Amino acid sequence: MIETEQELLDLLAAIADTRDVEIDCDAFLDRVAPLAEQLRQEVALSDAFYAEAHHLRICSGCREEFDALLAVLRGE
Amino acid sequence: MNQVTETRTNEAWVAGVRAQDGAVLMSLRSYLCRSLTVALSGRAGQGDVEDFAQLALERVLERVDSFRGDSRFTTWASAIAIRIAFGELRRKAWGNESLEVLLAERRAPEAVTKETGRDAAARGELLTALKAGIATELSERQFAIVTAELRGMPTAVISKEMGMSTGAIYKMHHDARKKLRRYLEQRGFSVADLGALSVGVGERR
Repeated sequence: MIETEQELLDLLAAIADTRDVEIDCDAFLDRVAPLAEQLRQEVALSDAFYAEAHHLRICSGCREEFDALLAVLRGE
Repeated sequence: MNQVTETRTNEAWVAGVRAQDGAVLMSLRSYLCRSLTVALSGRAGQGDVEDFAQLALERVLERVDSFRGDSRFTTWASAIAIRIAFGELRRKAWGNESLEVLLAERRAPEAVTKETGRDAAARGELLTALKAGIATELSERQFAIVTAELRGMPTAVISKEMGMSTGAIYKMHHDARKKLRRYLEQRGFSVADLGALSVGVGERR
């Protein structure tokens, strides 16, 4: 059961950020390298990465992996 | 740290990997070990890091033809290695948890909302509608996926438990969110306000 208010609020936040068309984790992986390199340079994210930026908000697993990739790039 | 990346072009990496050149593969494996050491920041021992790097190297060999060249080759390979390593660590961490038990787990409703008055009433109304939507709109599988993700179970673990691909799990979760959004919209809740509602106050259109 989804019973706690916090769970319901978390679900509500995800519903609020739901798009009609979204990319999944595999599609995100295909595009994550250029996205990370662009963010590493601390330039504004281009519109070409709209779907990937949205996926990062929705998917905690991909966000965790993305942060790890950024750490690698920043450590070079 | 990774001086190797500065001395080879993407073309050289791709050609070397395609040819299964021993020196190139050794360099790449070594690079992936260093990348994973940073990426995992102490979450895995050296032995695991080396195992993950080896698995990643094999995946890179399989997928080298899909590299588009829109990033450095080493960044692309690192992303693959990180996906593998985090996937393995998540599966290990959740190894003894079953989806069935997670779904059956009862969690006492806590009183998060302390405020009273119109705002609290509006939020209560929205949450009641959301609960009703969950009960009536979601299939059994969608409900299981939504609940498991809310409770922190990684997609890769849900995927294994349900015998479905991670892509299929994502699609079902996405469909569930769309159904619930439509359900709430049909009852007069503005989706534009849901984000604000989820952290604070509720309003009806």
